[in-house]
Order: sequence, then structure tokens, then C-alpha cells
Amino acid sequence: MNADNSNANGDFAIRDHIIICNWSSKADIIVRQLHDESVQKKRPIIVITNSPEDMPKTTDPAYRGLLIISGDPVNKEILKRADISNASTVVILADENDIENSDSKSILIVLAIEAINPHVHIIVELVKSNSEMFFQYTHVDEIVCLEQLSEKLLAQSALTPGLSLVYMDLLTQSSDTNEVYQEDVPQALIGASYRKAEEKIITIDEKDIILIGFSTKAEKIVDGSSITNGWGNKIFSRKIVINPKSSSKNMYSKDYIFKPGDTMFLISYEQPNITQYFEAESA
Amino acid sequence: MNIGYKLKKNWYAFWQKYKLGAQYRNVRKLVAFLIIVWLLGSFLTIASQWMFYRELHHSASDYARYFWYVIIELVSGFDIPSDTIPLHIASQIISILMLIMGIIVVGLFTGQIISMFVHVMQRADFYPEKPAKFRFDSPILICGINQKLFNILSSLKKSPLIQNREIIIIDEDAAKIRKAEHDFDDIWYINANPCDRSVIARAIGKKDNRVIILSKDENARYSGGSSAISTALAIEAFDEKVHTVVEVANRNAVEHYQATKINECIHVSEFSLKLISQSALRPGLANVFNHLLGDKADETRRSQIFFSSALPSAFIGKSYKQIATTCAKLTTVTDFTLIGFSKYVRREEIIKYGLSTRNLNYFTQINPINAAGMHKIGDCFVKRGDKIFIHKESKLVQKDKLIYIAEHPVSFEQALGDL
Repeated sequence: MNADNSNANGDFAIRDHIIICNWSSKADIIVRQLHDESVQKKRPIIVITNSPEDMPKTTDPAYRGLLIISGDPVNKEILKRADISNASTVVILADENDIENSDSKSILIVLAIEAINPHVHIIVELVKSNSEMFFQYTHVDEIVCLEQLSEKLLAQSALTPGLSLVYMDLLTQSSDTNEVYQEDVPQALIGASYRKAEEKIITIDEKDIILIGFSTKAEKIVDGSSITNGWGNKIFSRKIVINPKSSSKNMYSKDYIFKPGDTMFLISYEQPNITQYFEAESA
Repeated sequence: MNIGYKLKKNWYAFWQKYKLGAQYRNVRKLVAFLIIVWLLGSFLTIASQWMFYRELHHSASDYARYFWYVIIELVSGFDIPSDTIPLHIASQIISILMLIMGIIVVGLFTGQIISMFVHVMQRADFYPEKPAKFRFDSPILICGINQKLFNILSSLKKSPLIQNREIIIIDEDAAKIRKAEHDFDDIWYINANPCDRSVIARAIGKKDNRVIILSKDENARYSGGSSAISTALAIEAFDEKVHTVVEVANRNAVEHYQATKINECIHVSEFSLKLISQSALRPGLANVFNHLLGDKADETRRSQIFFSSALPSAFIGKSYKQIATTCAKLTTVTDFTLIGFSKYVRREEIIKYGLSTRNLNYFTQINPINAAGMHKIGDCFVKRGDKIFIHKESKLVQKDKLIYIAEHPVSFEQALGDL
């Protein structure tokens, strides 16, 4: 892909930061979660918004390291000013001022970002579930659809009393709650099966960790065939397997052998740093 | 499920769906009208014939024949055969009246029958109305309608946990709901305001009721959804034991709900924002939660979080740690991942330890913690900072529930047997 990397230096000359496109009062939750005390490596946040006057004027420690760029995130020049080339993650929030056209605007922002930095991790907040299909042909890594999420949560909580509390526990970033962590498979477990990793992790007493699944790199498949982007390149995505099956007939069962580049999903109260528990063994 | 209950429900589903009750009442009125006209016409004809042509009639059966003639006049338009028995002018006038009434009655009947056919065809796209006199076993009530309704119905119906639960939609516009692309069975409606206590009384089932309250207000995003709050309070006033899940559109409204005994308030925007934050911190997380909550494309073949219905007898009295070790072995015979458990707590314990349980009588603990070196409170709890946790050495009792990730609910008794 021909990425437009000219003028890579932005207004702040920072790296590995998080960019939030569009600001709303709700975004306060995101800032607080990203800069929670329990987060070990706090990243700077750049907010790109058309209405910077809506940003709270606060001395709250959560807002420390938060930078603002006034402008439309669809505009490539504005994205460059936010050092998009060096950013680690971009969060595109639904534009509350124009909620009807919010999803269309998000697509435009994604296309503008892809033209500058196709490797940045992009998370999009969708308003309408029908819009999801338009993102299949982009490099969007994660889509959070408000409508779909609420439907599923309401239905599942009615059938399983207490379920929303479980999800809230898993989604809240704090040292008192569990989170789902994604970590690289330790070198000692490369070539070992998921089942073996599960057996070993359950014996760790120093930290409360539960292995719930893994992910591996795979071609993005839509309707049974792999898809390419506008430049004809195959789009790769991560195949996520939660609670692998015990049957070995399935390619992604508990007998799956870990490859370099695979990651594990772990439930833990803090960053598990799972590798440390396998270092002694591999040595 | 009881066969009698099922047959009765299916009969009601057919009867209510096509509004056959209303049709039946219309037909009954017409029949009553026909009988009155028939008897009146017959008696008047008999009276006139008796007064003017008594000599031509030799027995009571000669008079009784007029009942037959009049009904023929009414329904087919054929006149009384005057060649066998001559009619007096008064009887002829009555015959004319009967013929006119016949046109009206037949017209009404024909119209009613056509209307029944048209109605049956129109009602095919609608759900049946919940019968007032029939109480369901353990229904799910959906109070309020918004654009999420059909996807919620779809999620509920596709879930392995729905079993035989009926779904009742309660709203003032519920009668207008047409079926979505999927024709789901066992969905009913009550066309009334869900804030009304008598409506709730009509909808509520015999046991284990669940209620989903949707934000109905179009501007609920800004107003907080007053109708949802009223409905929640009406249900709470009716029966505290009903498990109620409320969709909260406005963050400011959450505190109002927290003052009530509503079990679960889902402020979806907060969920989505927390999910976004988690994904920004740990790329890939949104996909994990989307997977657990269900992608549209792969609804039936996905893992989700379940709570076990009852603790297997083999686990009663064992610690969570022991159960987790046994469950690790069980995964060779069934597919699940144990992630925690929900502990049954008595009201005294909730007050004593200051537990936050949202009226569920269960304290949910994902990933129980290792209590080594920590100060234990009671048999099950430890305090870390200001927060109370359940530790791994807690012994489980019969009412406790295991929390696990699986594609379908796991039969632990069977899995233990297979092991």
C-alpha cells in the first residue's frame, strides 16, 4: 500500500499515543479508563475535535497528558498534525452532533487514516449495525456497535441474571476488577498445545489468571473467500478462538499447537506478564 | 413441558392470533338476530293465518310448518308456497318483510364470512394477543418498543437458555407489531401501557419471571427515559422477585434506578465506551467481547458466558480451587472454561459485609482470588483495599452457581459421569 508518510512530524512529535476522533461528554469515560491508576503504561492521548470548547477544563489527573487538536478528523492534514504515523491506536467515536450520518463520517475518517498509516490499530464506534458491512473492506481492526451491544446485553441478561455485572467487571479498568488481557504466547509454549498451556496456567499460584482463548493471524474471510483492499492486497485479521473445543477434529481445538506470533487471552486483575512464569522452565 | 399446558397454549395462540374471539362474537350476534327475526316472523305468520284462515289448518303441525317456510324465506329468498296453503294479505305482508330481512341477514352473514377470511389473512403477519385468563409458566416480558426489539427477540429465541419461555411484548402500540423476517413462535403481545399495574398483573407468569424494559422515548438519550422508570417502579411494586433488566439511555438516570430494586441497569453507552477503552489499551479486546456477546453472522456457534442452574452434588462442600482443578479435567469430555462462581448470600450477610449484589442474592466473583496472607472475613470473603472478594478456598453450597464460557449450557452431572 502506498502510504502517504510525508510530513510525518505532527504538532507534538510524540509516539505510541492514542488518538480519539470526535469528542463527546461520554468520552470522559474513555479518558479515565485509559489513564486509570491500574494502567501500567499510560499513553498520551490526542483528541481531534471540531468543538474543542466542549472539552472539560479540569485539573483531574486522568486528563494529564491529554492534547487537543481543533479540526475535522476527516481532514488528512489534521490527522498528520496528530502524528497519526506514529500513533499506536486510533479510536473513532460516533459524532453525537450528527448521529444520523455518524457512521458515514467514520468511514471517511478510516479511509483518511489508511491513506496515511495503514498499520495503526483502528477502533470504530458504530451507531447502526447495518453500517458494519461497509467496514469489511477497510483495515478497521475492531468495531464496537452500540446498537448491537445493547441488544445482546439486554437479551442475555434477561436469560442469565447477573450477566451484565460479569461484563461490567471484565470491562472496567481498575485493580479491583478483572480485565481480559492479550499477551504473546511465551516462547516456552511455542510448539505446545493449548491444552498444555491451560494445565500449566491453572497451577500458577502467584497470580490469579484464567486462560480463556487464543488468537492467530489468518486471512480475512467474507462469505467464504478471502478479501483484498482497494490496492489488491489481501487483508489479514486475527482469528479469535474463545473456549476452544476439546475435539481434535476442529483446527482450532484445545490440541491447537501454538506458533510464533500467536497470542493468549487471559482474565486477570492486572497485567499477567505470563512469560515470567515460563522463563525458569525454558531456562 | 406439560402436554395439557402446551395444547392449551397452542389453542390460545391460534384463537388469539386470528382474533377469533371477536369474530365469534360478531357471528353470535348475527345468529341471535336471525333467530329473533325468524321466531317473530313465524309467530306473526301463524297468528295471521290462525285469525283469517283457521279452517284451512287441521292440526298444530300445519301451523308448525310456517317455521320452516319463514326460515327458508329469510336465508334463501323463496316465498311461502301459496299454492298449497293460501296466504292471507297480512301473512303476505309479513312474508315481504321477511324477504327484506332475509336480504339484510344474508348480506350481513356474507360480509362477516368474507371479513373473517380477510382478517385471517391479515393477521398471519401478527403475533397473538396474550389471553387474559391464561397464565404462562415463566415468561419474559418486554416492556416498551424501540428499534432494538426485533434483534432482542432474535437473540432471545436463538439462545440455548430460552427453553420454553414465552415472550410477551407490552406496549400501547404492541398490536401493530408485524413479525420480522424470522417467524418466531411463542411471542405474544398486550396492547396496553406497561406502567399500569393491572397490565403487569395480566402479563406476569407463575414463576421465574424476567422483564426487559426498553427505553421507549425517542429522545431518551437526553431525557433519561421516564416511561422506563415508571414501568420499572410498577413492576417493582407488583413483585420484587421479578428479575428486571432496564435499558438506560442516559447516564444521569442510572442513579434513579440504583435507588430502586431493579436488578440490572444496562447503560449501553457506558459498556461500549469501556469496551472501546479496553480495546485501546489491549488491541483485540472488542473482538473478544463481540465474540462472547455474539456476532450476527455466527449466532448459534459461539461461546458465551453461562451460569450453571444448580451446583452438581459432587461439587457441594468443595472449594472453588478443588472444583477448578476437577473442571480442568472435565474439559476433555465437554467444552467449557470455568471463570468464576456466583455465591448465594443471605440478606444478613449482605448487610453484615456491605456486599453490592443488586438484589440478586448472589455475589458474583469472576476469577476468585488467592487469599494467602490476606485477612479473611467469614468463611468466603477477603478484603483487599475497600473491596470485598471471594477467595479460592471458599466452599461452595448447593445454591451457588458456576460461571463458565461455553457454546451451550453444560450438564456437569453428565460430564462428571462421563469422566
